[in-house]
Amino acid sequence: MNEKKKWKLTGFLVQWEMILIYLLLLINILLMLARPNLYFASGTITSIIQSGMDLCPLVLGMALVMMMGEIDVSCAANMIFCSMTTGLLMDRGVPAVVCVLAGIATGVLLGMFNGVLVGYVGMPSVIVTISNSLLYRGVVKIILDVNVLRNFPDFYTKLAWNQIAGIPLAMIIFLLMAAVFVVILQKTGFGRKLYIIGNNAVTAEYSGINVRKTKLAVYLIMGVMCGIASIFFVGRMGGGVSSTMGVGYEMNAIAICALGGISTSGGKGKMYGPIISTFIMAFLIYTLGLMGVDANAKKTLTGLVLLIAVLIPNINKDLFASVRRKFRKI
Amino acid sequence: MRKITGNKNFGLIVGLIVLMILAAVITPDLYSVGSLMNMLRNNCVFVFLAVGEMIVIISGGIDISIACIMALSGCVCSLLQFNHPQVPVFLWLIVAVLIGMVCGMFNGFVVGTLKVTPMIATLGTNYIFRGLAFIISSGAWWYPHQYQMTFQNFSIGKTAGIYNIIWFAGLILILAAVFLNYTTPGRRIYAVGTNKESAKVSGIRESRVMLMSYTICGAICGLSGMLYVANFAVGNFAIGDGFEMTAIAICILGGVSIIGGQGKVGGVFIAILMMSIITSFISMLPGLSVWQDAIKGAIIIIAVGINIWTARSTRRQDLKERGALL
Repeated sequence: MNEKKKWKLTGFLVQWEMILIYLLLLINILLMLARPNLYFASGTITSIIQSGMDLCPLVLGMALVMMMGEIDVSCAANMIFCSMTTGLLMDRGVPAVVCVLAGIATGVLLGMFNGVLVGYVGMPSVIVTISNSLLYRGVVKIILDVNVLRNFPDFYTKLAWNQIAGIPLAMIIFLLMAAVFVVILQKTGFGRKLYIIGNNAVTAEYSGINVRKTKLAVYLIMGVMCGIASIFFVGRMGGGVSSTMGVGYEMNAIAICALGGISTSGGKGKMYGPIISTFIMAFLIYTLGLMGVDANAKKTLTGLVLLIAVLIPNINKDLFASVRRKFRKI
Repeated sequence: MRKITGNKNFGLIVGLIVLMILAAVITPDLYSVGSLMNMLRNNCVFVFLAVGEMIVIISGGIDISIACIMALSGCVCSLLQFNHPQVPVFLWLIVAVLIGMVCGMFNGFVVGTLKVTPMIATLGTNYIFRGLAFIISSGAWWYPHQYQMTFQNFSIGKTAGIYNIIWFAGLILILAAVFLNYTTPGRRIYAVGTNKESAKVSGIRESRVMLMSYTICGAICGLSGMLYVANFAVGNFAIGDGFEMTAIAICILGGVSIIGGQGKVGGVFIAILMMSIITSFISMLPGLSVWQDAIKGAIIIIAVGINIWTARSTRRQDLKERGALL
């Protein structure tokens, strides 16, 4: 920590969040050079950002979960479950507000189930969420079968596709939510608890933190975010939901968080990272699409980016350590 | 009696027997020799995936990329046997295993040497391998008439009245059991999975053990890819999507501890039998096929819950006997 304070400017410039911003700028410059006409056309950047916003609430929730050293693989299934609740209630002619709230409440309920199993029963989160993912999606399959729900409130699609003065509405709401999460994680006692639990759950327990309760609370927040994500997702999909939609979204959310510098073993990283890397992912995927790269080849590059992103801090750490050692010898 | 009930696989075996009786009452058709053989044949691919996954999980890692390794080797084999029919088929078997080994080695290198968290590392390689499979196959599909009979015979040919793929699966199970229980590298995998620090102190190089376990897992998955396409005679880059989750689920159900260091081939074998009976049982009942995922998920949750509960109660009993909890 002391070294960081000494090298204030350089330390700031090489920290992970800044590297992410450079990466974002780099992708932008590449895109600008490759397709100048398109890049400066109105609406391109807007639509790029909009394309990346459908899973942003999941990323925010996942960052908290991963900070604790846990993981939630069931969030995509949870999201579809919430969408289904809203859709089914809308079909019955229930007022829209009640439907949306019911959707979010479903998310909270499913999140609570995860949280109780992880926190209170003490099952490993990977197992719980993998099998709950099967369970939730399975229930959606039972109820929906092959039907598609098309009856959703109007503001769903407006949220995903409209813009205010050229700024996508989805991004504004995402940034507002992100600000709340930054405050939660970086500035409140609750956020600091997550760091401690992520570093060492046993120590946290002995230092008087109620680990079980905190875990449950984080999974509840994740549930709320799944409910909100269902709004973004259904809107992005043009107001329709079927049981096979959104497969693999959980992996994308985890990938974005890892790219954002949140360690999967917990306790490391900041909230800004995932927020920036949400945009990086959107730009990257859109750029590759423009270059004529196929959707599946895009996956390969996404995987490479993820791996390299995870490797850079490791290499950095080793590099810094060896340099420091050399200086000490001198 | 206590020895029997205290056995870790006791609950599993009881569950299996209950399931079998249930299946016998409701769908007696399941117990004809033909449908039993088909059931085993079609679920054999999970033997490979689950055994590979088990070795990795025991060493303290996790591998999400297994299904993609399978797809990659399946694609390469389909492509090669279609484009070069003159080459002897058993060569493709070696190619499949080699592809799997290289993929597994890459995983092992990233996890063991570069020290990336297993979940994230294999999530990344998961994308990479699936994309490679797409690039190599250029999105093409292979249909049954495009497969040579000699190639298909690797899976659906019969030796001594049993499909070849079942022989392969049996062989892998026995080899894995011997390797894990009776060889030094196998015991090292357990040692690293149980406690990395103490393994290091006792002179085991963790990075090498990780590399080895991932390579073995990759090789088995590569083999499974070829046998899978030979079995169904359909190949494309998307085969086996989501199989990794089923494989992990089977491991968990079979009593492999997700933290590492615990797990036996026997338990995994019973879990595979259970899963395949559930799958065939449900698909034979009319209108129930949509229930499959939900039932599987619920079963895993309950099984793991029981597992953890019994582990806790035996620990408590041990402490009581030693007089620590007085």
